[in-house]
Amino acid sequence: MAEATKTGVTNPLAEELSSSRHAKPCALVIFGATGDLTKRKLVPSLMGLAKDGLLPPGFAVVGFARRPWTDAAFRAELAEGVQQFGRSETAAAFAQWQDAIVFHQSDFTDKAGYVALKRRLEQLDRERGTRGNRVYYLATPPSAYSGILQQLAATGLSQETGGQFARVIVEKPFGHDLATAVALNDQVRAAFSEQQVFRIDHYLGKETVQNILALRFGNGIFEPLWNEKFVDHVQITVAESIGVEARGAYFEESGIVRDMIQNHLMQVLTLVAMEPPVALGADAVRDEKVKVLRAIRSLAPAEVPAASVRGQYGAGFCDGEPAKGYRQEDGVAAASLTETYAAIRLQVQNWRWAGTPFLLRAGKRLPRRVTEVAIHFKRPPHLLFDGARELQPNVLLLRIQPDEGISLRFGSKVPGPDLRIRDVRMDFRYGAAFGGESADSYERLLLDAMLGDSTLFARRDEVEEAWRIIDSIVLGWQRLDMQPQPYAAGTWGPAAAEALVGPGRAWRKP
Amino acid sequence: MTPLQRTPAQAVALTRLPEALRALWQQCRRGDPEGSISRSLIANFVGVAEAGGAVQLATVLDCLLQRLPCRAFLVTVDPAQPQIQATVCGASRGRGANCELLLEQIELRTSWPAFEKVAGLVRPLLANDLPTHLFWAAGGPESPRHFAVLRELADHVVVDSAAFGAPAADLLSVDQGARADHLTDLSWLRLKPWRRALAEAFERFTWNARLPTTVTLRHGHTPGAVAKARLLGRWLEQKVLATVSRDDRGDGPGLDSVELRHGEVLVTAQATAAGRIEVHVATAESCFLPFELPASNGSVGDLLAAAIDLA
Repeated sequence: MAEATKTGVTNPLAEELSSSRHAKPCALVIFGATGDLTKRKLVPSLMGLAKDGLLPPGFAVVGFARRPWTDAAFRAELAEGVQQFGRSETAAAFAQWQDAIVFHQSDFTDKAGYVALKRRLEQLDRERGTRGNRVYYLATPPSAYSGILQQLAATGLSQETGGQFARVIVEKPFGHDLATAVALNDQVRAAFSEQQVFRIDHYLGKETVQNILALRFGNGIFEPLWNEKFVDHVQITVAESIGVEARGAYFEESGIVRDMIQNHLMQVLTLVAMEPPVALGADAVRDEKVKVLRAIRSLAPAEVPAASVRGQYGAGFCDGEPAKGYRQEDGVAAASLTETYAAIRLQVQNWRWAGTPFLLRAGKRLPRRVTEVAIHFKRPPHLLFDGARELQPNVLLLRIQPDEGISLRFGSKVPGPDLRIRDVRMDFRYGAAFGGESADSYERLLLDAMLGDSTLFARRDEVEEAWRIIDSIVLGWQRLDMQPQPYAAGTWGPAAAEALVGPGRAWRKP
Repeated sequence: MTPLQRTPAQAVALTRLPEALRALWQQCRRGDPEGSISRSLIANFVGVAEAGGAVQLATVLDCLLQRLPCRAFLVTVDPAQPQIQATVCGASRGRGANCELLLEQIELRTSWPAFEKVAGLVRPLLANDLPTHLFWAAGGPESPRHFAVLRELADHVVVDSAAFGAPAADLLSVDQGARADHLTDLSWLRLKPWRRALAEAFERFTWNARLPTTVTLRHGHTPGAVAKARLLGRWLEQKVLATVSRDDRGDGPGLDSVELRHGEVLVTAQATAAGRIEVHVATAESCFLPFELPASNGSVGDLLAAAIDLA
């Protein structure tokens, strides 16, 4: 696609820039740059882009934080992060790009700090060719968002003028419930328009999550079966084998339902259940995703016990080692009632999915780390073969992590004179078929934000609809005083969760 | 990721090749009768090189295999090999009790006179329903007939005009033999950093079709350098209506520099010793900050993988 220059004449070579998703020059300002996210994820991901030649030549990073660091100290910290967490050869990319990384010390609410930031950015425009384009990354605790957003607006840094862009990337959690999410979105809206806002959920940057769309809409054979006529139920699992580690205090406030289900699982659910979008544009895709959420009714408190299970891990064994219970973790109250496991049954009430349950579960201290979507198909209407009753229904499994891939379970004749059939599995593994080293999900998402492509970012209405659903469940738990059911660390959650699946069905043990 | 494990190469009679390929499944199980094995092939790959290039072809396949599990036919043309000789081997990657077969390799050694039989040998052995990529690394096709023998098997043909004796003439003969949309020249992919550098430079001024554009390409005199300069020159003639001159007194293995004048605009792109392209843009009003891009986009294997991804 040719791109118009200032006078309307086109760059005759522009296709070389657009054909492989090259971003325009810009400066990336990271608020909270001395935190773990910058060192572990953001800068290693930027260097991954640099290594692949996807960073624009005019590019700079400004680390904005309260600590009194120098440029050199900041770069040294980041170099260590790239060495430790970056893909191969990203250390060499860092050596080439480190001059483009600077540190800016300021309090998040100090207007003078933002005025100085503006001057620094203008200097980078001249020295590094960033051409007035800005991307702001809020890598701070949410409590700091308000001050940052106010100052960006007050100093004009959030304004887009003369064809230059200003975008803001907001990290989860997007609020604690619907009310706080609305308040946060209002704060963001006061400084930036919705088109400038990129709410990042790193799950959406995973290749295998994006592959859900490719599988569904790039193939002719699945979509005709992708409805209540053929699908018995859908299980979406995000299991972690670790406990809360050092995040006990944070987790006490959030619980698994806010930490995982409201964002990651709901996003995956929308991709599995959505209608085909008219195009792959950001709003076309997100319009269809939000329709799925709107088709999920809020639960009345009385419906919540039959549609959800809360759990909390006690002491047990993980990977053959003793594991302490949640209440013994650092930062956790001795009588904590926070859930570390939740399973929820949702109904998408539309033409495609009427009567097909979507079963979502997430938990910590489960036997293994796995994220998967399992489409369980209905049994054939008549069972012809010996032993067919023991056959499991067909399952199409989308493994998101680890061992990313797709497998299909189906019945096959056992060799021999009898006509007996047995379950077999057909496997496709991403790593085997495409090999190589996959880019981190942050690489994809940072590049998309620089390109202005918000398809893989959550829109305001998506976030708020997801909170509406989750709030109704949490309200039910509170009203009915539903306490978390205990489960031993290293098991697949509380026994009560089995009843949620319904007769003739069972949770997968992936 | 667990390392690849290769089975030993075994000499096989031409009539026994199908059985030898089936036997790879058992060999890859490595004596575990309970273990399951799956096959992850996504393409057929046919590589052709002369005897001197056989090692490089094997290296390219190793690189390619990281991204393209395939049934590979490595055809080596060796004048000392009057009859076609075949060896078979496989490579797999094990995961617990499961094992994935990622390579089924048939190496064929042949002379040019026996080359005509190769297509008849390869055709029935191509894995069903998978695309076939032909990589012609045997220099310029001495006889269009040799190239045509395998070209008709392939959905996609990759050549490297840098390896041709007479790049322009040989590329033309290859062009005539393959449909343009099915042909990729690695020399063209190698030019991607230069094309991008020039495109970035054109973002800094307004191009006017009515103003003359002159380009001087300075390059070394190796066939690879000549091929690159010809391709880039042809591209600039087409895209910006440039008058292109070439100066082959450069001392690098590829392009040394590009100097482009458009009215009062001067763009210079220079290869640096650090393996980068440094670009300066000056107009009548301003002199822009120089910028740099990496000059290389990978090995032959990387470029071949990119060519196959693009196909």
